[in-house]
Amino acid sequence: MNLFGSKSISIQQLLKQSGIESPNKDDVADFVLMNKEQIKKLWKDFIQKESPQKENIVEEVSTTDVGTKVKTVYHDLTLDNGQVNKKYETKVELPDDDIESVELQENKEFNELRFDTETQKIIGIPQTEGDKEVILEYVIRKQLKLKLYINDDPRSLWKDIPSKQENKPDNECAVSQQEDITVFSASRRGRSHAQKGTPRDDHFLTDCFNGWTIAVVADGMGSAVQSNLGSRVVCESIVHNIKYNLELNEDELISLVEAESFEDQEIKGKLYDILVKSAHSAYVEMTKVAQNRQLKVSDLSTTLSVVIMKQLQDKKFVGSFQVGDGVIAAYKPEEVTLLCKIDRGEYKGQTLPLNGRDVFISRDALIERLFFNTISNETVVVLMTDGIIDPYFDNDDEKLKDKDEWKQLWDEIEVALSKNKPEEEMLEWLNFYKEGEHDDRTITIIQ
Amino acid sequence: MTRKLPVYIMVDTSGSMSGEPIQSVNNGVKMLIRSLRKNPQALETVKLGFIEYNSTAKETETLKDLPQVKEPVFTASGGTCLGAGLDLLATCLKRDVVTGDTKNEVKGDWKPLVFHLTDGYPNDNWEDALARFDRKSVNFILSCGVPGSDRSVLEKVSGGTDKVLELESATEAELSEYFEWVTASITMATNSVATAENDEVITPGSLPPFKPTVTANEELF
Repeated sequence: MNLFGSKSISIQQLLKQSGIESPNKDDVADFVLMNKEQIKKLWKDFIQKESPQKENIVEEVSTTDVGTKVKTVYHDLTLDNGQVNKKYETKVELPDDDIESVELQENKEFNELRFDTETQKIIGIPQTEGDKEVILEYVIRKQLKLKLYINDDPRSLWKDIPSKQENKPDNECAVSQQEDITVFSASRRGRSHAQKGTPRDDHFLTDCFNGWTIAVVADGMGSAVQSNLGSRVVCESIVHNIKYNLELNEDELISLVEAESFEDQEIKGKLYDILVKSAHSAYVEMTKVAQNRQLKVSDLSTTLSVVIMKQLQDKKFVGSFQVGDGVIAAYKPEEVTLLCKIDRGEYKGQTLPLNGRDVFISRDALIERLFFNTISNETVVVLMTDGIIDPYFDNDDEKLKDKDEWKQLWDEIEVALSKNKPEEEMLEWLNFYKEGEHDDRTITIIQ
Repeated sequence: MTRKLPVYIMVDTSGSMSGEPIQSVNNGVKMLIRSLRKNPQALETVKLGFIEYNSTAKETETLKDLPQVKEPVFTASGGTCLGAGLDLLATCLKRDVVTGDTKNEVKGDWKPLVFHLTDGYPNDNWEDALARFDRKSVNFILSCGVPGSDRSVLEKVSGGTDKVLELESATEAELSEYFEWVTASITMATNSVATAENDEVITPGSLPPFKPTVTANEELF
């Protein structure tokens, strides 16, 4: 019995079946040669008539008690007939080669037959008369050999190659306290620099003067070859200049702030003399440094965010100035106020540097870069570079103005600052991972 | 969403490339993928696609993020239908490169880099295909000629004399050096992504030199 039902028939029988007079035995070969096409057609018809039709093979998928899927193929094939009380024995040719563990499926009504693997025979002594169904169950073992590649975690591939920059650690923290104001700064070299062993382009500096807190953050632009120098020059220069200009203007500024009513423009006028003039002097210092080193000033390109703050009787005064894509913000729970205008370029990493075109051309435009506010004692002021802002706020200015986003940020910072070693904790926090965001990160917190 | 840098490798797989050259290309490409996979910046930034052309053109591997890229296997036979290759490249660029939307301030992928390798003179209407090709859809096509190629064709395809490279032979050593150079160029391009000031992260002029020339020993002269 062959489950595939291959058939054979002699040419003479074939012709006879089709009602054609068959030639003599000796002439068959010649006859076939001469009537090739006709015989082909007869053979096709015969096969179609005799072979099991496709629709007689039914496939059914069911699930066993243990959850294995079983595909049952019903062949419309009939085994040799048997007889009650007489030994039955018939060989079955199985359709696949790599078959394992063939079993005759148990059947309550008809259980006298079994399958003998060695001889591939169905054997037994039938006890009852009638049409029976026999199901042979077997397992086919198949193997699929597949290839795959596992990518490394990009986080583990980043190298941390120390830069050879003197006087500038790759990561840096500073804490200072004056009266009731604490300033905490942390700056971390971006992974893209660490990977190449190049120095950190961000810089920060804080200082105190006559009860004023001065905080500066500068982000040297990646496209400028010596921007790490530029950011440092600007920080050092502007702090120096602000002290000088505060000396000249602070009394007038404070009396304006403390007056019962004041004009914004008057205060901005004073801030102009303190902050903008100092920023301009810092820019002039940049050009000098560039000249001395036979560089273009654009080789030192850097942004600038600067804040001055003073504790007044029951509140704090804060004034700020910014060129570039950093952020200065005042935050207390449920309220965030941006104290800056953000210069965004058309492309990521592109912004307006302090030495950018037309920065120091229009007094009105410069005044628009000045912000001030009197804030409650529990309000904190935060300065950050785009290395933090872009990944943290998803490059989304709406999120940057959202108090809930800021709450999350502040909660994380508070946790880090409350630890035993806040410097280490903050540097670790600055290392948060976001794909494609590997810039230097600097934060200064004034509270 | 992070902007990606699409890179296409377009290879002439005509019959003349069979044997050592195509075997070397396969090895070179394998080396390129394995080496880029070790670079975290590339792993996050690069999208890689492979196109080949002989009597027709086909996408050996569709443009995919580097972690998903499978090593292609090129086989060489047939003609040199560069035109078909260019047309297919244009189709792939249009379909697979994410374009920005200036209205909604959404920035698409960086302009794609195309590294093209050939050893023969094209035998289809490649000039028509080149005329159809929108050169602004890519940062650059850099053509590399193996002996047998025609420099003037390469210059036309690349759109400049400075975007053509000629190998001395189609040997394993030479092609392996070429793919090392392509790897270094892609690496350099991914490093420039952070400081890019427009859609093109790198210019052909700032790519690393191919086979840096040995400087003369001054003391000898």
